[in-house]
Amino acid sequence: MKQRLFGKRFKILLGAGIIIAMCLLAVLAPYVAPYDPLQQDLLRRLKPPFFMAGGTVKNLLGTDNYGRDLLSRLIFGTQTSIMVGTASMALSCILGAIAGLIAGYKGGRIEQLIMRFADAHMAFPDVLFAIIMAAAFGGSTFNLILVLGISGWMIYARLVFGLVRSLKYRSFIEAAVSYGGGDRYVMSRHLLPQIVPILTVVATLQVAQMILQEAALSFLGLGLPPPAPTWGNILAEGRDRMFGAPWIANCAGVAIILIVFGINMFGNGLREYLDPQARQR
Amino acid sequence: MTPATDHELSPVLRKRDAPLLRVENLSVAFHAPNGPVRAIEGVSFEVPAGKVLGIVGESGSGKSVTALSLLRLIPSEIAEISSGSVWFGGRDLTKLPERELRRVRGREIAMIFQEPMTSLNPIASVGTQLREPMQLHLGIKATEASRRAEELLDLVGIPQPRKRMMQYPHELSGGMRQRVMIAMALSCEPKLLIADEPTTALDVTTQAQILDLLRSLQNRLGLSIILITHDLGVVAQFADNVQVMYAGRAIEQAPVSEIFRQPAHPYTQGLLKIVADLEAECERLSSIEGTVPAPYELPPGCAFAPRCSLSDTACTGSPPPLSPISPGRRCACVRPAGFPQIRASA
Amino acid sequence: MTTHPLIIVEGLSKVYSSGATGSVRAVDNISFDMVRGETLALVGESGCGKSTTGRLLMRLIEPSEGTVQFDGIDFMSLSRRELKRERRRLQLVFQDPYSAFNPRMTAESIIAEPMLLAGASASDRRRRVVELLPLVGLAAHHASRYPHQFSGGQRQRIGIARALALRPEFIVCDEPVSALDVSVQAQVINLLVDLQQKFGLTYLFISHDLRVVRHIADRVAVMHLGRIVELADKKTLFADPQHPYTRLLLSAVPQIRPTVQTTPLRAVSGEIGTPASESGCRFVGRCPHAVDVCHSVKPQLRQFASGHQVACHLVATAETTK
Repeated sequence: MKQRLFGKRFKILLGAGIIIAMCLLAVLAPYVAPYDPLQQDLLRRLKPPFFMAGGTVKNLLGTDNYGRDLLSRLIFGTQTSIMVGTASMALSCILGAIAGLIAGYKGGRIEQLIMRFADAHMAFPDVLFAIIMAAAFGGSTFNLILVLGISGWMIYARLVFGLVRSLKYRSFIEAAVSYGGGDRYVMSRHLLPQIVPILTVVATLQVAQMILQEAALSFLGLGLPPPAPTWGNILAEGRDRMFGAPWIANCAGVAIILIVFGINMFGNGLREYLDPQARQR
Repeated sequence: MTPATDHELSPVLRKRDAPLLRVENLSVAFHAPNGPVRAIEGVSFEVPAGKVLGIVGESGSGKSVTALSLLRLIPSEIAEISSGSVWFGGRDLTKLPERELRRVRGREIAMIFQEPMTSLNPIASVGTQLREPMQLHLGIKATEASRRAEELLDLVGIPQPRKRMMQYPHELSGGMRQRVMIAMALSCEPKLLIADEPTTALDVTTQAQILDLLRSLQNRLGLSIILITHDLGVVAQFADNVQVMYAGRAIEQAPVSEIFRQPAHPYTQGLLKIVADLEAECERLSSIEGTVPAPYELPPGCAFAPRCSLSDTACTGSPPPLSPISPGRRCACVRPAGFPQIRASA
Repeated sequence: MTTHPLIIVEGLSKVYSSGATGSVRAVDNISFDMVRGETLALVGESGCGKSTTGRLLMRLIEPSEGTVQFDGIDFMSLSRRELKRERRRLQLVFQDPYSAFNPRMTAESIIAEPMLLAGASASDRRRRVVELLPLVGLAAHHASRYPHQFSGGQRQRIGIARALALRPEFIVCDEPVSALDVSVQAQVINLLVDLQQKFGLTYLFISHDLRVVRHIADRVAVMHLGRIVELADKKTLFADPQHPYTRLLLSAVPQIRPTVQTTPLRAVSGEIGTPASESGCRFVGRCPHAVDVCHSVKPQLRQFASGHQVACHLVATAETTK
């Protein structure tokens, strides 16, 4: 039997390992971070990381424009990223799944209404929506979650819609209806459990997407306002100093890459794990 | 005939009686997470030239695996031929390099499948698909291939061939798609046609038409056919010889005329009794108790023994080999009905 | 027949309109009766509307026209709630044992589902499941297993147990054995017959397999493209079929010991068309005996002999010979 380069177990373990490490960092940030992320020290501005010339172990990854320790800021950044990423994924998943479920099962006019609305929403630029929200309500974690959550529901809606449409005609659905099962019963008891596994895989991968989007929004100044230590903000700060102090942007970039990589690994491994089981049936 | 006997015949006699296809001790195992699982084991049979062999069995009997393995069509990451040979045209197909095997597939041995909708390419027109084997195997140019394709469609009884050539599989009915598949299979004039449940997915009237078509093609072209099916009635009407399979083994082989009159293996007897009961009118159908064992739960000894009313300790030792019980008939049972008992080898 | 029919179907039709190809009469003006305790088989090939008829009868699909009377109750006039209540007396056994169950439910919850939806208590449900399992030949320890752990035959038994949960009087069996091996078919057919005798059930047995029908049915209705073309008791239908399609069907069945004495009509080419055309007999494309009137006038189901109805212009019926 051919051995694949990265078995699914390896993917799941590696991905989970990275995710867990990041979560631990987020939870234990106040204890793990060497410095207060907001504390400025203008005497130690723009110090390079310890492995570059001029760096010391006092600031392992160097400092930024205001002398704030980069490592500490990055560690605290995990909090925002993970919280916003997960919460916005949950919001969009729930909204989208319910919409897709109803649209797929009821069909007819309701289907048209929901799915065409999804199409229209997909055409609407997310950034504009974020700008409007930021302008109207200001920047806060809650608003960020709201913006990202609302702009992501369509993916789930489409996915669930397709799944439900194919499941709708299976005999056990027909049987439940013949015994007097109402719409809500059929959707919750029979359809939902079937779509949850696939939904889980997509949702997992979407967290990575949400984190990237959060970083992008923060980078554009539409997320949490500075001096909040989010990775997007750090990226934004690092942008102007790409030649003078490249470590600021690069380290933030690496952090983002790492968590997205971990989530994708985990999600793909999960999908591979669930797939052959489904195929065996 | 066992291989040993074969070599003793004079070359002239051997050539004349040589079967078109001879399978010797074919075993195929699936790759399962917990280790290889046997799909078929020790299957040996012959297909004489110009005759129809029906391979009959229920689900899990291994009949489709047998058919697919003749041409090594099962991907190697799913299953592999663990032992045995398939002799065709003086060569062992199981040992041929892939390149040469491809020249056999479609050209000398062709295959048609159960589900014409999934066996035909849905986005290629009928004409394109018909021309493909001829262009690939015989190197014929497109215009000539088109002409031959139309002839083939006519041969298989499709009206308005030119119009059909432009159509796509979804525009045709199930029976017509099957005819197209037969036309494709015959396009390079193969010597052997393997038909894997070709009519199972069709209506009974269409099934009758397709079987008639195959019969007439067989007569006209001198084709040999291996017909895989679960329907004993189809075998009775269509095949010359029958092989009955159970749980991955061939358990009985006989000419059709004899097996229905006098089935030897208890399983065959059981099946025939059920079919006979269905066709006659009786109060209660006889049935075979129990179910087919799963491939990973096979009992030692005869796989049918747990369900067999005649089984005893002699049946639980090792699986009885497929042994001759009369000229042209073989049976894998120590106690074939109506025949002298076979002493089980120690 | 002095016994009051359990089911009276009259003029049942179902029209599907698909924009591009116009409307299709999947079921066209079906009428028949059923007496309590009998087994009526609906036979036909794909597209003949037999499965649809079964569902129309239970009003799982809304008919376009026609009426269904069950035990004197007009099914078509019931409200949704009344329908739910009355429909417990009619159950459906599905064809495909592989998609008939939610793969995440145990056998016990599957069998108990109708009771759950009817409002039975958990203890009642449990008790009934324990009753039903041995009735269908399953063991108590099967209750906690999942569908994929059962063989096809066993799954079908679960389906039958589920259908019996609410003690129905009438069961529509939609191709219940078509997906099973022959040896397993025999077991399930025996089971259905036993249960019918035990509980006085009435079966509408839908199948394309004439061999099975021959064994289990009392009367047989042959359907073709949405219409019943012949209706007779079993013996008569197999011994003396009148409609050309019935004869074609019977001659096409591959038999080991051909006992059916019918004129072979194999030479007819062409296949099942789509049930689209309105005027005339729908078998006209494949019928070797078709004459002019067959193209223009729809044949009605008429009495040929006692208990034997045929829908064909060329069959001398009891009415026309008067």
